Amino acid sequence: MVLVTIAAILAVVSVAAAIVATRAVAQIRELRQEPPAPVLAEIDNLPAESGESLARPEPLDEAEYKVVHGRVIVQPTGAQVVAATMTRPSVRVAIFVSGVAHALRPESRDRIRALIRREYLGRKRARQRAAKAAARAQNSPPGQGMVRQ
Amino acid sequence: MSARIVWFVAGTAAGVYASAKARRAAYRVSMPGLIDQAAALGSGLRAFNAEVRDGMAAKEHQIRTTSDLPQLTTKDQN
Repeated sequence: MVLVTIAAILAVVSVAAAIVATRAVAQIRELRQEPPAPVLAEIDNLPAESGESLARPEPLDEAEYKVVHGRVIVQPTGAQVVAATMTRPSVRVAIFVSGVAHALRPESRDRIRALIRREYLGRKRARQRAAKAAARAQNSPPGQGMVRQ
Repeated sequence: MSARIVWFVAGTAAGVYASAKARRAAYRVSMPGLIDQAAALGSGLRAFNAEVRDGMAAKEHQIRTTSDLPQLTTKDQN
């Protein structure tokens, strides 16, 4: 029982790690396939008859952007910084590993093990009680309201 | 005489112990026993999952508070 439980937990952990790694690889591939953002100068130099009309972005405050080598770099918001930091694969893996370690602490482990054992014994006792009641109903003497079959 | 009694008691105890163990093992490998074990394992997995999520939330909170990440306002969180 204990070995089966440990094997099941290890299997779940390995499947979860594989899912996280697969998602990280997919995100890296998507990022590599994204084309670079157009530069403002390129937008201005587009010929008018080319048919493509690129909307010029809304003007920003000077504190919100800066120009580096002809490229406009918009200062990210706090939420964007937090999202970019917290969704890095290394951070996600660290958080997941910490969660697994938290679940495998002795107190959590013992609690889960006791929960499994209690659940198993409770179901077993309920099944035995039902079997005994059925046997009693079938074997009860006549005249006590039960029907002998 | 007393040696016979000792052997009788020891044999009785061993028989009771062995029969109880055998009955439990037989139930464990029977179909209802396997179903009960699977159900209990499912409960354990759910509890394990909840523990993992708790630990992940705690670690995430710790990273947010200990690193130099900007504090989010309600406008940012929306």
